[in-house]
Amino acid sequence: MNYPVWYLPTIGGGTLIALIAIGHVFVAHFAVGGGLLLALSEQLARGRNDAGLLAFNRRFARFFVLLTLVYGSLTGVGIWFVISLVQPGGTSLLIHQFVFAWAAEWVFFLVEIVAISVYLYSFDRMAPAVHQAVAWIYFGAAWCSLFIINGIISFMLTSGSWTTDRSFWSAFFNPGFWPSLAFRTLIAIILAGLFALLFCSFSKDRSLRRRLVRYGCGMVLPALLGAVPAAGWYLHSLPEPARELVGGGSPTIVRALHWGGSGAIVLTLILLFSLWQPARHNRALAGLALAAALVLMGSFEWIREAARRPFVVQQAMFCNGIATAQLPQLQQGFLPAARWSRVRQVAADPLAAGRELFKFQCYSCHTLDGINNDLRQRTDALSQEALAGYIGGLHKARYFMPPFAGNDGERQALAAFLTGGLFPAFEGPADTQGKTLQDQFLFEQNCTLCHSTELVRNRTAGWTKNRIRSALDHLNRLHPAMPDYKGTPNEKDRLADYILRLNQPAAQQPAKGVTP
Amino acid sequence: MNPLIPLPDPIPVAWGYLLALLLLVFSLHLLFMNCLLGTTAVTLYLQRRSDAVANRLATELSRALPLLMAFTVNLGIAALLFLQVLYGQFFYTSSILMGSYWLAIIPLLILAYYALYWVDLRYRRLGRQRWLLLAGVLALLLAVPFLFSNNMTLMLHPQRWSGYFDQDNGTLLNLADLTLWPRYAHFIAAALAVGGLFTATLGRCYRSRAPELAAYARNLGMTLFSRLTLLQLLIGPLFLFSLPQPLRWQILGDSPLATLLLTTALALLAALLVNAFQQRVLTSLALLVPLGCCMVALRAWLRSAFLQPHFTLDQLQVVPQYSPLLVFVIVLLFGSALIGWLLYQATRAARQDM
Ligand code: HEC
Ligand code: HEC
Ligand code: HEM
Repeated sequence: MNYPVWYLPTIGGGTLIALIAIGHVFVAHFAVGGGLLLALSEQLARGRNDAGLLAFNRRFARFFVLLTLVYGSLTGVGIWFVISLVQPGGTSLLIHQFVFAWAAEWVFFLVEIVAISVYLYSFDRMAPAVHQAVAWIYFGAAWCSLFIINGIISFMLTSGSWTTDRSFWSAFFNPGFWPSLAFRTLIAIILAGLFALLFCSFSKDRSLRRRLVRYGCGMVLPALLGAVPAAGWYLHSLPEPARELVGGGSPTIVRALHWGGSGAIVLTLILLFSLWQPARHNRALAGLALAAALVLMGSFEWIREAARRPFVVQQAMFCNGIATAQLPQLQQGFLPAARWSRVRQVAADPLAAGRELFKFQCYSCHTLDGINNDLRQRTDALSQEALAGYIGGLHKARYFMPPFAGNDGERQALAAFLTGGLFPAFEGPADTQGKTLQDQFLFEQNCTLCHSTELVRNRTAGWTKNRIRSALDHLNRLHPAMPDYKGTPNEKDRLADYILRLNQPAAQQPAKGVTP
Repeated sequence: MNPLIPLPDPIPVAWGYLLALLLLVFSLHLLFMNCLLGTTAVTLYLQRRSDAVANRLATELSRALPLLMAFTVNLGIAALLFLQVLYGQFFYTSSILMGSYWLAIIPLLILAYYALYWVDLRYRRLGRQRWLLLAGVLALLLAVPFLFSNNMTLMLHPQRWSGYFDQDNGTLLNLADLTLWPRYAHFIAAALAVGGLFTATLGRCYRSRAPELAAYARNLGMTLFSRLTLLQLLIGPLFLFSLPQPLRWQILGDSPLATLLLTTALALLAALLVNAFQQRVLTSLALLVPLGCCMVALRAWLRSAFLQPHFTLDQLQVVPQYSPLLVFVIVLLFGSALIGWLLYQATRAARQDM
């Protein structure tokens, strides 16, 4: 809210970040592991006088440079560009907090560029020992880059004691630092091995291929085995609310976990097969293995991003750039405090106010009529009143969304904008609390946000009223993603009646006594 | 104070350290960027010549281009870092206002970079298509600094930011700014000139092995360098006169620092022009570097003068934490030593090769 929002409602900033980041993360980890691979394979080739392997090493180095130095490093800059466009507040915080960490990372990046270029251009011109040393320098610098970036990225999810002491070092060596470093290092090794397997499947030399498959699997399998406990360790380091999201509180995270697990299993099976039958290793298998690794890695990054919600920096700033400390003040009125808003008062132009509220508070995770988490579609079934009520309890109903920062009028304006409805005239105070709520409205407001009425009806078909009533006391036990309902016992009774009636449409209508 | 300007975050060390680092890395960024852009233009020009020396020179130059690109980008990243720390509240805002164009820089550079590698690795096989590729790269490399100049000038003018209220999809450029065009022309003329100097310097490395090549490179490069630098005598004043009057007068005498920078630069320029027309490569290079530093410092001064009504660097809150700076300095020294060793080994290998 300190900054303007670059507003592309159908695309969404999150989509742009994802587009750049997915490719980058994949290549950037390869850039680390690949250094190790180059150093090891040259050592092996020279030690065993294996000319075929040496030639492979050389071709692989060129491919490596073209992929990591060009695509990898420019998409890295791309991530910087795009996060400063989409999350300027969070980026500014990270840049200022970690300026010298970034600066040190830049030095290592410079060393990497020089080392890999020297390595590539001086293959036959250097003493073998020196040439190998160059590869080790490259790998060392690349791993140090990972070490530093890892401190910054893990800080965003597990800010640890920084929230109280604001010290650089407690931010950098945060609770997630070591598990995340271990996991990422192993992933880097896995990716390097898989790229080598793919690359060698194009080679015509059969015996070389067989040797490489053996080396490659020998590198990837142990790393994969180590990655499982590392991932567990990582999950264990998450703060409590984030762990709950991963443990089932967020349906999308659970889905991502399944994807990741399947990726790991497919990968293991392919590798075991290749090890058993190295001669039958081919391009399709290698491509499939790489795709499985992409899924594994993608779901890991996805979970990390999603588990951070609703924060961009844990406990300090929400995804929409609102600092947690600002919240109480903003709940008195958001628009007057938002420097980049077109309108300052809801009453001046409710529709424009609703648009601005969406832009500054929801757009960071939602699109309008777009593909990614479209809010129009999600609010389609809702009445304006129900939505306004829901917005009031956003963070309580769904931990991963930040609380709405604004007053009652602003809440109504946002709901009106999203449902295409009219803004309630502002004669009296616009609170709905005083009204006696109808049963249906009570149900709509509390139960149809996350699923349709049909789902509730179908799943409760045949239930007795008592069963429904007691389920309402422990909704979370029905499904881990569903929060407990916090209404009064009286409201629960009325809801139970209403749900019961859903399944008895005939009984609901007064008997008309029609006879044919 | 303009209400649109966001609140800055606190910095961990006194701003002087950060400004010094910014000036250092940005000077280097510009130097490499000039070599990259100018050398691409020279290589493209050489495609039109059919003599063997020109062909050989173009081959050698094209081998350097991907490396120049790598260093331009790398040093640009460092400049980006320190710029954000010092002027983030201005820079993020103007970047967002032109967001769609700003993000386009990344795909443009990826294309240019791959095209340069393509020319380098497939030089012979490409034949006449080299011409097309290089022209494309040059066009891309001219577009990128134009976008940079837009952002660097837009960030200086918070009063223009209210354009955002009619256009929030990130397509606001700063085209109406009078200083934009001479500023851009100033950068491009410098870049093309330095490309000439780079050509001559590279040719010099071949003095003993291929004297003919060295002479050709020197002649071509220094002619280009001296004439384009002469042209700056026209563009520079144009830029000065496009500035708002108070700033112009400050540079022309009212501000001691700015005036000192300008007069030093002019003195260096005079010496440089004499040497350039006499085709003295190394002396020209030795004069160009301090001249570039003066210009970069003047540019930084100009930025602070533009922003003066809204913000000065000493308004930044400092929450001191010096230990990370210390670690960075150690890493920098260690990294420089490693790079020194790598370059030493590389030149030794290259020499053995001959
Ligand atoms: C931190 C990101 C984030 C922000 C900011 C955010 N949301 Fe959401 N919201 C989500 C996610 C993720 C989902 C979908 C969860 C799922 O997949 O089931 C969602 C779902 C919803 C739903 C559908 C009902 C539900 O609970 O699944 C509504 C309604 C909604 N959001 C409204 C809003 C409004 C209004 C705002 C702005 C005031 C907002 N959200 C801001 C992340 C966010
Ligand atoms: C914040 C989101 C959310 C809200 C609010 C919510 N639910 Fe759910 N509910 C879920 C999810 C997610 C599921 C699982 C859906 C699925 O299995 O596809 C679920 C499933 C259910 C089920 C089926 C459980 C089963 O055994 O499969 C019932 C019944 C149900 N909800 C009733 C309610 C009622 C009644 C309310 C209102 C008091 C409510 N829900 C409010 C998220 C929510
Ligand atoms: C992704 C790679 C790049 C990054 C991160 C980058 C970064 C930067 C930064 C931060 C500045 C401003 C420094 C300051 O104001 O103190 C700048 C200025 C500039 N850059 Fe780059 N740069 C990159 C690539 C390039 C390329 C490829 C070119 C040209 C071919 C270029 C040309 C320029 C020019 C001309 C300026 C000065 C603009 C002005 O002041 O009007 N940059 N760059």
